[in-house]
Amino acid sequence: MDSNKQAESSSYPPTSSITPPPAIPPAPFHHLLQQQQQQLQMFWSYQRQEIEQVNDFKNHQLPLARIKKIMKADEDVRMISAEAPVLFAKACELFILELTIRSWLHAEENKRRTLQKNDIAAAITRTDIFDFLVDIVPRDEIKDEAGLGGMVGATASGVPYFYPPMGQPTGGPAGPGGLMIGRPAVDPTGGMYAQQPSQAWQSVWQTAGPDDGSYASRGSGGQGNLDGQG
Amino acid sequence: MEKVVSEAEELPKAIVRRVVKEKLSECSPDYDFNVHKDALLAFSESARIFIHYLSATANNICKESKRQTMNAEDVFKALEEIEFSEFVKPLGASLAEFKKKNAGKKVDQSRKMRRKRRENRGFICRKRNQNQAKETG
Repeated sequence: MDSNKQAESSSYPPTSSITPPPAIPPAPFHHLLQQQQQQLQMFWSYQRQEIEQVNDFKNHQLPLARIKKIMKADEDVRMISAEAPVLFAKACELFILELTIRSWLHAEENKRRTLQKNDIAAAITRTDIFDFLVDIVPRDEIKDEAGLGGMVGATASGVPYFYPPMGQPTGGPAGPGGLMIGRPAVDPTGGMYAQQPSQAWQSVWQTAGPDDGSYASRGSGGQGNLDGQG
Repeated sequence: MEKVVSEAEELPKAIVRRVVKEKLSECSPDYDFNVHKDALLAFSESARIFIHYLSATANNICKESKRQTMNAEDVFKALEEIEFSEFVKPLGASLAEFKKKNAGKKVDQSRKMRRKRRENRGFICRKRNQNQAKETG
């Protein structure tokens, strides 16, 4: 920049008297400038690299050391290859994304714009492969929100049973929640949730089969280790 | 959820929060979605238990193969077993990227280590000479 000023001041005919010539002789000054420019170039290319690296690390945002600690909390897990925590970080992220989408669906169905714990609980209940989380986010947190489309309930034993859909106008959230004909006297611990939008969920429940069987058979290795944890 | 004074490590809240919020803004770009504090905790806990679940499954697979160290293959098989097979592809891509990045790093690292060792040796020698000088002086 300075060299530009220098060039300009020498080209201004009468006003050159206003900008006095630099006291430093031009040759070493020029050399310094070159150095400075080189340094700036290096600085900026380094910054660019840094930024690119940060973008790459978007894939491993979860800290690998922390993940490793979590894994090692299980005493059965001894040695872990260097690649494993990387995989777990990504898997964790994908898992959270899945859970988010499904929880969001529940919030949307109930016309809310705040994700609540019961949304997550509902997502867990609805999704077979999330069965391992059934005890983590308790189902009794699920509130009865929407009206009375088809209704699905589960007893404490986990076997789902369902009521035929009522001749009830759909739409309209939070009806008089207590008005449910045919509901058992003992409110099953939170297994109930009303579904408005589609009958699709009913068919899911119909084919699901008894919860107990599938729950027990899946991840049997993992299940044992979860006792006393979480 | 009860508050457990953790001996259990937890995932960093800020990161969990960011992952959730980014997805939510994808799901509903037209309006802001909020996340209740309890919900965030539930996400964190669920993710932590997922790690345990996947880890234990992978560990079993590893042991069945009579090995001591859990490796990537074990994790992939475990994902299939717990019916999260749709994770396998993106995880594979992520792993390939990680390996590529670290191929360069490894060379750098070993150079740095050699330099460090040389420096340390020099330092120790100088220190030893100083101490000897002190003792004899």
